Amino acid sequence: MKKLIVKTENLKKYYKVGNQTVKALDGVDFEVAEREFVSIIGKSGSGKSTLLHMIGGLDIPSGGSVFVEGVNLETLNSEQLALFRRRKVGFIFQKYNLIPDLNVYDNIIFPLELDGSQIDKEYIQELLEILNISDKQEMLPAMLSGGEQQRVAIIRALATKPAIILADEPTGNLDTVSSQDVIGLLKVLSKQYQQTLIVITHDNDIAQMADRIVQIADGKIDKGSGFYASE
Amino acid sequence: MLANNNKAIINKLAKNSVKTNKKQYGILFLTIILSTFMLFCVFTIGMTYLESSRLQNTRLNGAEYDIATMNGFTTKQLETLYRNQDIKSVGIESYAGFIKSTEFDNTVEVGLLWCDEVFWNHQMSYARTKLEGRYPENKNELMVTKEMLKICGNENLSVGDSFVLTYENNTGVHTAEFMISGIWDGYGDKSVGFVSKSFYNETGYDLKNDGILCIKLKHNYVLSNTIYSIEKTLNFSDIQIFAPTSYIKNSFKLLIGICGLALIICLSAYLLIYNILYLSVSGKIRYYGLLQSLGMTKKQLLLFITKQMLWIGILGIFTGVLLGILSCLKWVPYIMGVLRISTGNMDLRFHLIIFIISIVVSGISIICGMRKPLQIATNVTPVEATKYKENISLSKSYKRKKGFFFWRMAFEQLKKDKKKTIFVLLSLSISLSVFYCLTTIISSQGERTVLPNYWNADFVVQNQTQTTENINSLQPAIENSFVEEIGKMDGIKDFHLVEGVPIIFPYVPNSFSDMWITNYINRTPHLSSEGVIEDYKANSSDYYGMLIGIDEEQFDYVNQSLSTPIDKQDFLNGEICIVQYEGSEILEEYLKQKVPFNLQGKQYEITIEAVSYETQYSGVDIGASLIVSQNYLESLTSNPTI
Repeated sequence: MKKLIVKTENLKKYYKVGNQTVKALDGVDFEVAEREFVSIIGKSGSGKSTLLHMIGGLDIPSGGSVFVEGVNLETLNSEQLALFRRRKVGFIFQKYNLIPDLNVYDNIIFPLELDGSQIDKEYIQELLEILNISDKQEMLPAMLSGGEQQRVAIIRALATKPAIILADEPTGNLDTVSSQDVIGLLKVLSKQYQQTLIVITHDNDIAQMADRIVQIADGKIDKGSGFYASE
Repeated sequence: MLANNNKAIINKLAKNSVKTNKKQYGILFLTIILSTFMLFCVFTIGMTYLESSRLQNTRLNGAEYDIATMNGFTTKQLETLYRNQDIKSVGIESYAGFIKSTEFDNTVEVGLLWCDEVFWNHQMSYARTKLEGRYPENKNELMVTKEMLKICGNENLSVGDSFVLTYENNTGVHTAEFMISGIWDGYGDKSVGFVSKSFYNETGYDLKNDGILCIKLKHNYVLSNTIYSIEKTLNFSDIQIFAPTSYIKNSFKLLIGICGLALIICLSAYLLIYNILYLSVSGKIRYYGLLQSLGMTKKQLLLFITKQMLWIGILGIFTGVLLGILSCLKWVPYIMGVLRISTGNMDLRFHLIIFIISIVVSGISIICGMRKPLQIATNVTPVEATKYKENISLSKSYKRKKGFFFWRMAFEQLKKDKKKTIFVLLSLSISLSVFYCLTTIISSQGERTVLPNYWNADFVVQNQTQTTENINSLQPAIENSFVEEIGKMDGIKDFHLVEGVPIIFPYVPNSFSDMWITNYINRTPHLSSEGVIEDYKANSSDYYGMLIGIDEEQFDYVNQSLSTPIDKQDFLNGEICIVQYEGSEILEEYLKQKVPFNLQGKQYEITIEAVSYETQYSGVDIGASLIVSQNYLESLTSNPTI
C-alpha cells in the first residue's frame, strides 16, 4: 500500500457572493499517494482550482481537513503555512504570476532566497536548458512571451525540489506540442526527484498522461471517475 | 518548522520594486516632499509672523508693553501690579511739559517725558536700535533723537552739545540751556525728549495725576479674562484710563486662529500623503498575495512594504525639509519683497519644534496611509489577496436607470467606496481651504491693505497748518501754482484735490451736535462734562469741524467702503454728506437727519447720509468732518483751502 502524501476529509469551501452562498467545494474526500501523478479535470467553476489552493495552503477551508505529509494544515498558523508553501509546495499558476520586478533568474530562485537556502545553480541551469530559456535569464517577465513566462513559472516551482508540485492549467497558454512536452517534462522530473504531481487541465490528452484522473463536478469528486490510491 | 526569514531578498525586492515602478513611487515621493515642504514653510512663516506681529506691536508703541494706564496712578495700584503673578514688569512714564521754541526755531511743539529705569532700560530697549550717551541724570539734560533735533531746528547737534529752549509745564513758561546727554534711534514716537528725574520733580506734574504705567505681561498670549482681572484689581477711578494694546487684547484669538490654521494644514498634509499612499499600497494587494503564495511570510511582507516606505519617506521628508529651508531663506523673503509685504525687516526664524512637527506629521501620515492596506494584505489568505477587489457596495442586485450612461458610471465609481470618496473630497476641500486662507492672510498683509489707503495714492501732500485750538489756523500752504507744477511732473498719472473750510456746529440739544460733544467728553474723561457743554455753547468755534470737498472719483472710492453705499447724484448735488469719524460707532438715530452748520457767518444744513470710519480726511479739529462734493463746497464758498 502506497503512502499517502495528500488527504482531504470532507473538505468544504463556501463563498458569500452578495446574499448567496457559493459552494466551491462541498465535502471532498481526496487522496494522493507519494510520487503519484494525478490529473484533475472538470468544467469551469467545478472547484478544481479551489481544491488545489486548499492542498497548497493558499486558502482556508470552510470545513473539513487537509493533511499533507500527515500534517493537518488547519493546525498551522500563517507563518507556518508560508513556510510550508515555501518548502513543501511548488505551485504553477494558471496566469504564471511571475514577480514583475525581478528578472527570470531571480524569479526562479525567489522561494529559495526567501528561505535563505542554498541555491543549486547547476540544477537551475539544467532546468533552464531543458526548458530552453537559459538565454533569457536576465530579462524581466514583461519582455517574455506567454509560453516563456509559463516555462519560468514551471522552473520556479521545481527549483525548491518540493514534495508536491501543484499545477493549475500549466499548459493553458501553450500550443499542443509544447503542452505535451511540458507535461512530459514535469512527469519525468517529478519521477526523477520523487515528487508528487497534481495537475489541473481541460485537455484530455494531457489528463491521459497522468497515473490517475479525478473528475470534479459541482464541488464534489465524481467517485466513479478514477480509483483511489489506497485501493 | 523553524523559520528562516531571509532579509537580503527583501532588500533586493524592495529596491527592485522601487526601480521598476519609478513613476508610481515618484509620485509618492513628490507627495511626501510637498507635504513636508508645506508644513515646514507654513509653520516657519507662521511663527515668524507671530514674532513679527509682536515686534511690530513693540515698534509701534516704542516699547515692549501690553497695557498702558493713563491719568495717574496711586502707590497702592502700583504695588498691586508688582504683586501680580501675571505681570513681568511695570514701567513708569510721565508727561513733563513741552518745548515751545528753541534758539533755532520758534514754531516748535515737542513733548517732554520722564521715564523710570524699568521703562528706559528694559521696555524701551526692544524698540531702540541705537543709543549714544546716557539717560539724563542732571536737571538740564535731555535725551533726544535726530528727528526731535530737526523739529527743534538743528539736527546737527550731538551728544554733549547744548542749546537754549523755552518750555512750558505746570509751573509756567521757562527758558534754559539744556545739554544733550544722549541721542537714541529706533521705533516709536521720536519727536519727544526725555528729561531727568530732578527736572521732572520741578515741572509741577506728579505721578498721581499724570503718571503713565506701562505693563508687560509674562505671557504673550493671554485670555481677555486675565486682562480684565488686572483692571479689576486696580480699582480705577473714572478719570484713570486702562488701555490694553490691540495686540494683547486679540492675542489669544490670534493664537487660536493660528492653531486652527495649523491643524487644518496638518490635516491637509496628512490627507494628501494618506490618499496617495493608500492608493499606492492598496493597488498592490494582489501583488502581495502573489508574494505570500510563493512563501513570503507576513513578517517578510511587512518588512518589504515598510522598507520601501521608509526609504521613500525618509528621503522625501529630508528633501521636503531641505527645500523648506532653502525656500524660507531665499525665495520667501524675495517674494515678500516683490509683493511689498516685507521690505527686508523680516528675519525668518527656524525653530526645532517646526522640524519636529513637519517630520512627525509626515511620518504619522505615512504610517496611517500604509496601515489599512497592510491590514488587508496580511489578514487575508494569499488566494483572497490575489483575487482582491475593492469594496463594491451591492445594495441592489439590478439597475434599471437609463440614459446619461457615462455620468452614471462616473457616479457609481464615487459610490463604490464611500469612505475613500469622502477622504478624497475632504482632502481636496481642505487643500482648497488652506490655499484660500493662506492667500487671504498673505494679501491682507500687503502694504496697501495694512496702511491707510488714501485710496491707493502713492503720494499725499498735506497741509498741516491747522491747529486744534484755532478755527482760523488753516492757511493756504498748498497754492494753485504748486498744484499745477505737480500735474506737469513726469510720472504723475493723476492727482486729486481735497479742499476744506472750517465750520461751526451750533449746539442743539438731543441732536447730532449733542451726540458729538458727548462722545468728545467720553474721550476726555479728565474734563467736566457740564463744563465742556457750557463752553461749547458759549464758544462753539473752539469745537469747530470741517467741510471737506471731494471730487467724483474720490467719492466713488469712499462710497464703496461704506457699509451701505449712498446715492451718488444726491451727494454730487449737495443734498447729502458723509460724516468722517474715528471714534466709536454713531447710532443710527443720528443719521439721515439734517444737521445745521455755520460757514462764514451763514447757516446751512445738510443731511448726514452715512458714516465713514476711514481716516484719510481727518484733521486736528474737534468737531465732525462732513464730506461733501467739491461742487457743493465751491457753491458755498469761493475760497476753500487745499
